[in-house]
Amino acid sequence: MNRQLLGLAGPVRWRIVLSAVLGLMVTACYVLQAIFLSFALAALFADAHIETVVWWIAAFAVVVVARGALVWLVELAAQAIAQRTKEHLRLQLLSRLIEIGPGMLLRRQTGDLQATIVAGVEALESYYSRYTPSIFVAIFGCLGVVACLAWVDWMSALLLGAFVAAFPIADTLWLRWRMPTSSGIFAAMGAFGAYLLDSLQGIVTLKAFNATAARRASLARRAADLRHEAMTALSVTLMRTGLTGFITLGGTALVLSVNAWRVAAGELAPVALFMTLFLAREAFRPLDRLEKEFHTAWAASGAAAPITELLATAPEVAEPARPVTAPLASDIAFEQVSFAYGDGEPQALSAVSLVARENEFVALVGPSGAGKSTVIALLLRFFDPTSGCIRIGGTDIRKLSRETLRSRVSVVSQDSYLFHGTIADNLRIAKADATADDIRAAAKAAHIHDFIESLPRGYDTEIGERGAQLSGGQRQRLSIARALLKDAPILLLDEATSSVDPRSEQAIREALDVLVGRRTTLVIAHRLSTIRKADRILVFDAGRIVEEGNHRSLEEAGRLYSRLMQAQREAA
Amino acid sequence: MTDLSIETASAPPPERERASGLLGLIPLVRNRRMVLTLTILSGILAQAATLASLAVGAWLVGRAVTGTAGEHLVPGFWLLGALVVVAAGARWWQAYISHDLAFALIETLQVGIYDGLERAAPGYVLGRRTGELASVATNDAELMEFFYAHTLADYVGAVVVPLAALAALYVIHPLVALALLPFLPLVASVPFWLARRAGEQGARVMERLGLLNAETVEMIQGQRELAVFGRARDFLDRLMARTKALAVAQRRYGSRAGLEHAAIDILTALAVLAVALVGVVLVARGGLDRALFPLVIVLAGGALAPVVEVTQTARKLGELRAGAARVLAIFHQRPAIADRGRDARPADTTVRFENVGFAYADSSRGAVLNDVDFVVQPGETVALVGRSGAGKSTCANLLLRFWDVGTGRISIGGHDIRELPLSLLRKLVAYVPQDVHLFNETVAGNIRLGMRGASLAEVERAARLAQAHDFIIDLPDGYDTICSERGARLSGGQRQRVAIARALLVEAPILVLDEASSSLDTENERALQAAMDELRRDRAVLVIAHRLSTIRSADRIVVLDGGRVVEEGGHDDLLARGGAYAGLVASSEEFQ
Ligand SMILES: Nc1ncnc2c1ncn2[C@@H]1O[C@H](COP(=O)(O)OP(=O)(O)OP(=O)(O)O)[C@@H](O)[C@H]1O
Ligand SMILES: Nc1ncnc2c1ncn2[C@@H]1O[C@H](COP(=O)(O)OP(=O)(O)OP(=O)(O)O)[C@@H](O)[C@H]1O
Ligand SMILES: [Mg+2]
Repeated sequence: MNRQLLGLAGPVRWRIVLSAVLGLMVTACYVLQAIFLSFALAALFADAHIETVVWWIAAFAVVVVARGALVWLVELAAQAIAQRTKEHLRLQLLSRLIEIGPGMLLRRQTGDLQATIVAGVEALESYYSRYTPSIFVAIFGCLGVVACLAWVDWMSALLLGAFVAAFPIADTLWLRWRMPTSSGIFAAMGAFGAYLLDSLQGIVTLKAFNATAARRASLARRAADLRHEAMTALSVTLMRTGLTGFITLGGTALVLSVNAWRVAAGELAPVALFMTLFLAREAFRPLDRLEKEFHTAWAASGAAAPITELLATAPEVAEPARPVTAPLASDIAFEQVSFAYGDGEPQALSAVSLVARENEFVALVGPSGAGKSTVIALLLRFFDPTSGCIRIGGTDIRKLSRETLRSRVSVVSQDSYLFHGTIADNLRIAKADATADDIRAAAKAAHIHDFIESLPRGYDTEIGERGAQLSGGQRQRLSIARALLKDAPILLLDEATSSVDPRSEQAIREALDVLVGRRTTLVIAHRLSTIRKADRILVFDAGRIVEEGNHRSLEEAGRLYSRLMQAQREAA
Repeated sequence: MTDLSIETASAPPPERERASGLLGLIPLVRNRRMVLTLTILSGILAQAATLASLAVGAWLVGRAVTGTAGEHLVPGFWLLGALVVVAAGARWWQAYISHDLAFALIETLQVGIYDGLERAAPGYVLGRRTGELASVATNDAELMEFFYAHTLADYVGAVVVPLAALAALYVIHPLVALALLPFLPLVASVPFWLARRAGEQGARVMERLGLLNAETVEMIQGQRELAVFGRARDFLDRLMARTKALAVAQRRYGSRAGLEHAAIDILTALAVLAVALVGVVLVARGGLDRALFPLVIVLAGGALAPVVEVTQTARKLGELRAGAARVLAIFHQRPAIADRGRDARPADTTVRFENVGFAYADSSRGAVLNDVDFVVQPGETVALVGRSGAGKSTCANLLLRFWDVGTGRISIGGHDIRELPLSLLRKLVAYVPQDVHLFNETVAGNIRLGMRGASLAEVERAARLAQAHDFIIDLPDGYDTICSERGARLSGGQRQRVAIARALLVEAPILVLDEASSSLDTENERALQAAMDELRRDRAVLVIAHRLSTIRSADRIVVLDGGRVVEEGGHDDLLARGGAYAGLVASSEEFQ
């Protein structure tokens, strides 16, 4: 048994015991059946009255029916354990996923995580529901069967016992010698799944670049790896099945032959031979079952490592032990904030200090890669700064619970995610209890209402994963509507209108103008039109703020900002 | 999605479709007849040898008990020993060879699923959930192991071996054979008693598993939104409800299967019982040699063993059928568009949209384009502008033949693009899509997508043109830095520049840039335009943009509105005309 696996088990200990007891009762039925049949035969051969024979056979029939019921109960018990374990594990994994936060995907692939959370848990369940109980059944069941035989004839019991003991010993030795790592199959499966998912999500790009065939080749390689891993593992376990099969059949045959000889020589009563005939098989039955369950459980145990690993992953940011209550004000302050996305990564922000007063409209501009989006990621506490401190309403955000913090902020991110579902569903993500009027108002402000109304199914139109059935600008406007619907005191817009036509943009800007003065707004944009009216503009370059002022003063300063705006002015 | 509750699972597929599910898996075996034959032979051998060894053992017992001398039993002992070796060996052989076959076929299925999705994309994939589609290739396909390794060959063995045992019993005494006879079809029929329910339950299990997969992927990828909107817990609850729903389905499925298992168990024992009773009576009447009685009982039990084994696998049939239906639905996807063009590469690369009309098929939303007409000549840069949702990206989609035009035609150098082989068409057109997708590979690997053999020097040249080289060499591993999923470790503008470099690398005569620099700062954009000046000289370039600075760089502007080209001309002309274009850009403040 595996410590790591046992550690993952949920509250199922007693259910496992119950299942084992039921399993033992099934074995007991098999033993009784064998005994009754032997007695029937013995009676027949002893020329007993035919009625005696029929009585034994009737007893046999009763046991058979009881066993049928027990077999069904064993299955039910296994199902119950399975259900418990899966719920327990999946709840832990999903909770941990939330704890770790969105930074996770920088290190792990979705397909891989998906494999761990769905297939991994589905597979691992059999370890608890079937394999563990069958260990108990194997130990006690086999002992019981051999003891029964010993009651009739100790010598055959000894001989059979030797083979029964040889089974697990040979097994263990064999596995110790040849066992491949069980993680192979599962890892190969995860790799294949992740690669396939990435391919599917980028299928348009693959097609556009005639790269589907090359991608197929790599995918086929991963499928071949998976097959290879599976076959390597199997060839070992199957060889082992051959070995144990040989022990089972050979043991039965030998005991039978020896006893037949002894009966022929008159050293043994016929009833003992009949018992050998029928009981010998029963002695191996629990072992056979154990081996079958081992086969599945072992393959599944490969999922244990990734599951344990995911559960042990430290969250990107720590929740405070005693969070302070929500700040009343919604001004934002970065104090000497530095940040790098990882060890060995260059600093994305170096000693950035900025202030956005309550209800102020602040724009962040600067060349691509300057660190603007990073400011938003830090403000939402997807990561913590390496040094420095971020405050909202004067409170260090590390002292707020993540929930409180995020309830104060609404965001349209640069590549916002829309969920599979309808337009209304997607808007309601921001506010579960939004009324139809709220939704319309937000959609109107984002200048998307008219389009939605023009659709045959209106707000109930399905938009596909990531909004795939909408145009780029429609997706962006929907994200804006979603952010507005949340109605939080801080609004962050990261290139929120980059794919929106100028006229819609103007309409959205006007709608936002109404809100200006009512919430703190941080806007990241490259387009002059978007930021011109900002109270203050912060110019970022290579992770630092290099200029600060309003449009007019920055234009006059004639540095980076005015250079950036130059192209646009030329265009007009 | 709204209240994050579970909508009712949709009905399982219609009867006929399900019936054809498993049979549809068989044609795959056609190329592997030899292996299949061996699998079947080994299966029969394993089961027959096992039964024979048991029978010989029982025969020995019968002889010993009826007073045969030990020496006469010795040949029997040897035979028994030999049979044991054969049976164990055959079992191993059968298991190995059948799994070998199964995993080979699964590999075929998995790659076939990719092929099917690739053929049917993007139309088929767009409306669906990628997490579920991917799970078909993993979970559902792996499930088919059961069919290929444990079902196909075992069924043959389950017919042959019991018949042989029955024949043996018949030779011993016709009446014992007769007693056993009714049990064979009875045991074999158990899985069919509740087949309908099994099928429905199986379909439900697979469907719920698929949903769980889909939503797990969405939870992972949409985590930032869920965090920001404080809905992560709700989504978790929803996934837990899915888990429960799946467990309920599995439990129903399992308890039905358990019932079948118990029924089979009882029937098998009853078969032995019936044979035993008949045997007892026959022995009592002197119709049967007593020495053969143990053999009769063992043969009766053994005859049913192979049948029991297949009914064990038959428990899985419901799931298998549902899984097979899902796998095959993708496996047999028809191509979204027919690739039957044979024309050679046109010398001239003028792109011409001629009265193009189009509506996305699977939507009731009406036509996106009606009667679109414009030309892009080599050496010319044409800007396609229009309101959001006007159909600009759709034009690009049609030019690349992700969909085929509804009416009218698109031609390159006078050849209808439907007459060109797809691979040629996509070599002629380089494309930067509006939604950039970077794969979880190195930066260089991503740029090389369209030209795998490109040297590093070529990659760097393209990156320089795209204004990406400088930031790339600043990355920790330069061109060998892994981009993370969807390019997550790069900034938005950096991702776009990698995508531009990727398009420039292939040096296609036609270039389509769909909002390719929308996330780029203006300085970088201007540098990009300057760098591309030379490139544009001999290419037909179609840019889709909202930014005035991008539009201004074009030679000609085509204005799309209401699915039609409403205006066409130079920037100044169009402005002077005071029509749709003027209305569109007048609102951009650069302009005021
Ligand atoms: N997850 C990440 N891991 C490592 N580096 C990252 C990660 N995300 C961003 N970076 C790097 O940090 C720097 C700042 O990125 P950021 O996204 O903040 O830029 P930005 O100013 O928003 O740019 P853009 O205008 O292109 O969106 C970039 O050089 C980028 O490559
Ligand atoms: N896969 C699809 N299925 C159904 N409708 C679609 C699909 N893709 C786009 N549409 C619809 O077709 C119309 C045109 O979309 P398209 O993407 O061509 O617009 P666009 O002009 O590129 O807009 P934008 O400037 O916002 O990117 C839109 O109304 C959009 O909702
Ligand atoms: Mg578009």
